[in-house]
Amino acid sequence: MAGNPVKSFSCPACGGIVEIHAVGHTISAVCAHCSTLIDTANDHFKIIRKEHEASRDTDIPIGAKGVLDSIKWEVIGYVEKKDKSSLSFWEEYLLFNPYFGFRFLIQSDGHWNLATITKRYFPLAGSASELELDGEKFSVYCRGESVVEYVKGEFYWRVRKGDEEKYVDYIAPPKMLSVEKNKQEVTESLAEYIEPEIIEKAFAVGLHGKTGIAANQPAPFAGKLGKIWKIASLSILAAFIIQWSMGSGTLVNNTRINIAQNDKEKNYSTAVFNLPRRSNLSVRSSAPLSNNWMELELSLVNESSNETYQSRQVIEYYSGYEDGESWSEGGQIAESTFSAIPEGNYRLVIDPSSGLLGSSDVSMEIKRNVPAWGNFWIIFLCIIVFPVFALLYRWSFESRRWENSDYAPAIYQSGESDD
Amino acid sequence: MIRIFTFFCASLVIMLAYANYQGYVFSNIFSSQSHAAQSSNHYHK
Amino acid sequence: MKKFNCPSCGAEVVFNSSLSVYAVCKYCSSMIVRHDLDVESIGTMAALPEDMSPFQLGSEGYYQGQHFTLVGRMKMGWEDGSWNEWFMATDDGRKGWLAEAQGFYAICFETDPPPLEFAVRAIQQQKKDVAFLGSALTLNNLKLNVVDTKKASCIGSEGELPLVSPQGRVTVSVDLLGAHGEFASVEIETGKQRAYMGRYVEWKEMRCSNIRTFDGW
Repeated sequence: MAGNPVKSFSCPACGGIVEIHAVGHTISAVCAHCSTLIDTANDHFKIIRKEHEASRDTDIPIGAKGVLDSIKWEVIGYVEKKDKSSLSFWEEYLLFNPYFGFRFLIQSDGHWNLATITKRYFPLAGSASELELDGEKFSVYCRGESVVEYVKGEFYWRVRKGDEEKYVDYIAPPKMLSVEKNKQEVTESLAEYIEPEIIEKAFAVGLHGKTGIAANQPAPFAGKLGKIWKIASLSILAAFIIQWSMGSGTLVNNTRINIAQNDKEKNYSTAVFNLPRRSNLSVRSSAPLSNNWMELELSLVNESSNETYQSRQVIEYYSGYEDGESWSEGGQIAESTFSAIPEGNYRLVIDPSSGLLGSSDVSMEIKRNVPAWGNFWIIFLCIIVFPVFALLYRWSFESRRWENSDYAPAIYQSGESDD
Repeated sequence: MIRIFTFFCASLVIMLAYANYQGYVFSNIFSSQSHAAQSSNHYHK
Repeated sequence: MKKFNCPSCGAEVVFNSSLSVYAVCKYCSSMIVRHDLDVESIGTMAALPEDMSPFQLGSEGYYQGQHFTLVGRMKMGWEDGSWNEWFMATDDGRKGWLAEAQGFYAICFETDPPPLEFAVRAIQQQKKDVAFLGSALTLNNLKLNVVDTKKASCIGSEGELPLVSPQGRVTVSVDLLGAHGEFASVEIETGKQRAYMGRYVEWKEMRCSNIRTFDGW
């Protein structure tokens, strides 16, 4: 049984045609020609408030139809409100569907929310600092008093310019629970943040850009930050276990060389040792020097290919006793690690020089497959960069979110007082 | 995004395992010589 | 199901529900009251104003797995608008109503009324600013709070109803709400209270069929 749902009548003030699109629901209608507010609760069409202005254009025109969440909606009303203390403006569009009822599209600073009235009783609505709805906790964000500045279209409740009501907003991003109180009633509505692109696409309109951060704007990495840190922690643990399982290395050679002052041109060589597979090689040299220095040019030579790998070690140690305090500088140990040496037979050739007047022994311990913890730490840094960035970005975002609120949690407080 | 990060972490862990097994020392890559070893002198004050 | 002939025009008047005591003749709009063996006409019902209710007589749906059919309607009006109360015929013989107002739907069933002093306070609140809103009431072990009271009168009715509802019948209607969407309504008429309890339901969950369609929707 189809029917044309629009009801028309003549405006009692200017005579122009006024159309009602939510017949049976609408009790206040604004004449599109002269902006007079008319009582449509009955067919007497009494004037509530006479105006003589042309109607204002709105970003989404009255009468526009669009689909949101698979439901078709028609924009039938528009209210502009202002906060009495901060003087900030926002807009509320009334959406209608004969089956699904009503919704509100709320715009503030370019941010949009889709809201529904909630039919729940909240005992401490408005005075509480936290409200719970379906297991979700909402924290108070702001309290204020609003006044209606402009109305257009039609409404199922009594609304007119100058109407005042107290409101309290509670947030659980991306949702917001708002409590509005006027002399007659208390209304709670649940809003969800919606990107302007979705609205632009649904209603074929162009909207302005956003400024600042909205109270219930979803945070970056929302719901993902915990997972990111879990993955990072598990990966770091795995990396640690892998590094730990490297063990402490295998000894391949132990040599002691006696180095004298005038051994400048003399080279020493270790015995040949075998690397069964590609591995790292660590050379640890220690000499019991006292106020002297020693320099060792190391060459790791592959017996068959004669391929050579170089390293230079310096051992210097100075100490003394001055003004009742002993001091020391330097060390008696030097260590080098060769990276990824191919399998094969090798010997280490040592070309020493020193400042010795006499001679000194130097012990050299050569090991393969030593644990290179530097590897772990580099991987650790690579893993942790993104989670730390995400955390800092989130913290910065939340600080900016709570900047405009008098109820910011302690960690996000900027320390400035509000006027 | 979670998938990309998981893949990234898994790759790093696998790379660490392979590098350690083959005896690569990452910090050596940062020194200018390729056929050389990183040296450190153990100091105490 | 009982059939009678309309005392005014002779057309067939069907009472589908055994609970129905009143019906509006489809053909001549006579208001018909049913007694045990016969029916009596008490006047003519004027045409109901147009609205965009998605329901019509014969619409069907589901509530908590149970199928229902809408067999009658009362349109109630008050200072700031109107709403519909649809009489539901269900299989289990309970008196059920589907109320639709401001885009919301509430299904409720008749239950024992609250103590008389509740009605007294509701009427008092209509006359002066007594703090009745927000007061608590426990019905059937459920804690509810008053969210709205209004003086309403019947604008009209159609189909069959479990009470006599001529135009102009005046009531004080009190709405109560629970913390989880539980809904109750107390209708106060001279000398009587009727209470109903249930909850708000979403359009989708009722899975309605045989509903009205509109151009462009």
